[in-house]
Amino acid sequence: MDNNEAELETKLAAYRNELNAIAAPADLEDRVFLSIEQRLSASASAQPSEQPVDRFWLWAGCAASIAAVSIGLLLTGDAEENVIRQQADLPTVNTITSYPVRVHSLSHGAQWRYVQSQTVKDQRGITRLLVVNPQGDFYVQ
Amino acid sequence: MTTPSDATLLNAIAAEKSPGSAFSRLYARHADPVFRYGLVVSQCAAIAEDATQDTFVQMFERASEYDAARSESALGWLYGLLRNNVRKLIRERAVEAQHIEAQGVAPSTEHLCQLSDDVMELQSAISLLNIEQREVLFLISLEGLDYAAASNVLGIPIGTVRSRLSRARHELRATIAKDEPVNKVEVSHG
Repeated sequence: MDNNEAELETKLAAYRNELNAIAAPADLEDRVFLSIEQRLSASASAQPSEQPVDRFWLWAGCAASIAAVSIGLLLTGDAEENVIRQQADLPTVNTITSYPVRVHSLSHGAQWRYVQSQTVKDQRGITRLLVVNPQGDFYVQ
Repeated sequence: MTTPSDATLLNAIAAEKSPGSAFSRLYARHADPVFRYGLVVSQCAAIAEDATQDTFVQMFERASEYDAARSESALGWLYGLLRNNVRKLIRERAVEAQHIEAQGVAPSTEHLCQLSDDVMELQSAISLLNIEQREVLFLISLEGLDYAAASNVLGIPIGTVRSRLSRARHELRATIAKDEPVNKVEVSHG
């Protein structure tokens, strides 16, 4: 090692010692936490609007009370209350998934649509399809 | 009680829905070296702070991506994230600087100004290096990584790491030699 190299090593060692005494700013951790929380809440509030709004639901919701649903039993009344009661009556709830459901409406006739639904078992052990739309209307196959 | 490894903490973070104790422990473990890397590479405290912040936000969001098989310590992975963030911020600030050219955007060097006069000469010389040279200088000559580890962080071959470091050290020696006061007077003996 020549003199220049040795001198550089000495200077680097002194620089390293002083540099290692420098810490991240004290408030940086709070800023990081805040930034993460903001992203999480932004992502949570953005989630519903990211789901495609299907015009189908506009007419399906309105038509639900007057349309015949070919896939099974149409339940009416206070939708939210009925969903809670129905789910409470049905002990086994399987994976939420999308199923093709044949829907009749007076305005649009019969259509196959993919809607979010749950497969459930009723009290007799028969697997049924619980379909809930954004308006809270639901029906069971 | 054994100290949980970085990989263990990152697994815990990946399972957390919001930053908790595992995140705080990992932050406390690595925030200072990550910040110093940003400081030396960018030569700008504001960029180092923002890049460090972005890096730990990414650590939270991408904890499940960490490959513990590559290294027990997550520091190299964090250096890699920080490196990209520093470059991105430098590019953004350069564009901003063009828009506010009249005001000028001087690097904020308050942290580096804490250094004593003894090392300010070297600091000045380091600031004259290009960003690639500062990266290898920090990782190898200041943080003590070996060539292979630095190669992993930088995503370049080991040979390139060697040549960049060699050029960086050469330029540092040249700058220091140029700035040295002339103490010796050559005497001609005829």
